[in-house]
Amino acid sequence: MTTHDPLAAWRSNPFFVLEVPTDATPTEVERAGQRLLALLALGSAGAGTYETPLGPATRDADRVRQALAALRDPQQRVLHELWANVAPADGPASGHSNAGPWEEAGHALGWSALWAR
Amino acid sequence: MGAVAGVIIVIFIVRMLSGSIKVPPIALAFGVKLAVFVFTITMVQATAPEVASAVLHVVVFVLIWVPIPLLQWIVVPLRMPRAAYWTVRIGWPLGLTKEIEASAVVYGALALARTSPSEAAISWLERKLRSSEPMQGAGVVAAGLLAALRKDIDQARGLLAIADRMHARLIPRSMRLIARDWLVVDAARVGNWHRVIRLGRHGMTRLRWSYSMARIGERLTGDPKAWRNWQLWPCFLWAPRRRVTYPLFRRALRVPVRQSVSPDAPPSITGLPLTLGGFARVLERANAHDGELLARSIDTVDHDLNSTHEMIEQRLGVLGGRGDAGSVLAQFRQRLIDLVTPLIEDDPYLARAAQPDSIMEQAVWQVRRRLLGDIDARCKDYRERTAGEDSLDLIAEWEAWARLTTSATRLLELDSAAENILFQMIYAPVCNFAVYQHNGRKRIALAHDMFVWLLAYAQGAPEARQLLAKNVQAGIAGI
Repeated sequence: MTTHDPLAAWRSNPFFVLEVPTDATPTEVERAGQRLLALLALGSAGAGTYETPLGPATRDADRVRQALAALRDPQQRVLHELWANVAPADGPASGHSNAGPWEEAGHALGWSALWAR
Repeated sequence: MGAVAGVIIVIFIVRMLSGSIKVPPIALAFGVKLAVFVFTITMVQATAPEVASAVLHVVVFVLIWVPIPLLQWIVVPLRMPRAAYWTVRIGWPLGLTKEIEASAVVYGALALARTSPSEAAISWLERKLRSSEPMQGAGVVAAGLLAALRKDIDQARGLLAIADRMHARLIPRSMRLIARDWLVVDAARVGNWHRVIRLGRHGMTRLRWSYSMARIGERLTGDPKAWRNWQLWPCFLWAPRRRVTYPLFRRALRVPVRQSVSPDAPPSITGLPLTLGGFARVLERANAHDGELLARSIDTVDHDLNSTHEMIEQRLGVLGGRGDAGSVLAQFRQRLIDLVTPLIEDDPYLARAAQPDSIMEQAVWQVRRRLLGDIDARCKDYRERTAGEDSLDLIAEWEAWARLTTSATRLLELDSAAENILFQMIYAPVCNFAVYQHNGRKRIALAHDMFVWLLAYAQGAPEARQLLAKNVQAGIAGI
């Protein structure tokens, strides 16, 4: 049963992590990465989080370095471009929206502690 | 006259203790309760003043004759695990006489689940469970609830699923009810309505609340066979927990009943970014349990991917890459599989919607391979432990059995055609291990559950079927 975030790996796309567009030049990518590394080293409050079309995510210096390394490889970069070009997930998905989770299920039965994290 | 009756009673007790007269536990419990009740009332009347006597009458009556309502309405909601445990031990509820200690642990765990459970309280209940023998259905429910309290949800799910499908002679109805309700809530809280429906409608025993939840689930998922409002209302009213289930029931009533299974229209707009956006929304929790929608969404992405071949070649040329577009597309498809695989691991039933040669089918094969590897490792463990006559403690054995059945059930949900392969893999090691547990360790209930489970999948093996049927009968005689 789904308890993990199925979109977590997708949100770690290097273009999202570095907050650069998919048509950014290699120089722009490097500059964005170095700027973020400097901000993270200084402990800047806003540098640890970023927005993606799939919702917010968090990053650290290691993730920024990995993103830079991935975008230096042309084949990897094209692959990540494909994944980063995603229409924002703002509209409702097709299907039955009423069939979503019953959030109050555990509380309703008085068994809240059994599923509490 | 009184002396004669006394002598008869003494002879009866002596013969019962020596084993020459067998009395069913429920009859014995009833007799003891009656004796204690009469004795206590007599003592109270003789010693206590009038008002105190009336109060004590009520207390004794409730504790001896209606301990379960006392537990369910007062002790458990007041979050008193030790009081719940001792109420069962002292009250000796008639339906739970076979496993009174384990049943006491179950009620203790339920009381604990209503608060933030402390390590000390869980350990105390675990110690009580370890000292309880024999361990049958109530013991398995207790172990499952304690696993849940320790946040080992997978283990809890496995144990409570065993309790839910257990033979009626091994588990009291009230214990099955607790196991089933937990499983239903566990599925409903993440929106896995198809599992709620399977639990409520296809379980071995129909229980009112889980049945009502299954009917609600059918309506929520847009099943064309879902009940209309006029059918759903009586079902809801007949079930318990109406107040807490009402908001969900209202949500279900808002969903119109579809006339037929008509798949949602495929997205009219195409282009990889848009189809990827749609796929991302399907992956999100609210729709992740809709297999058909997931399969269609993956197929659309896969279809749109083919049109990007030329664009990828161009981009690689601009970036000075040496790879080819085919390699990028293969990596993209592998990532697609990696995104879908955990969802199928969590809910193998999604795999039913996979089309042949599709990306989703590749993800299904990945999960299938992992599950078969897991089952194989567990069978090897059983084989080695049978040969070495090595046994774990009873709770650990039930837990190991729950892990194997969980993997096997997932495999069958994933691919119902795998039944024969599964049976060939597990028959010999599990059957031999169950025989060892039955004969060597006198763990009749565990062995019986293993035989019953194997028998359910022995359709294509007449000889094995015959042997298992005989073992099941031997188990029933020993329970």
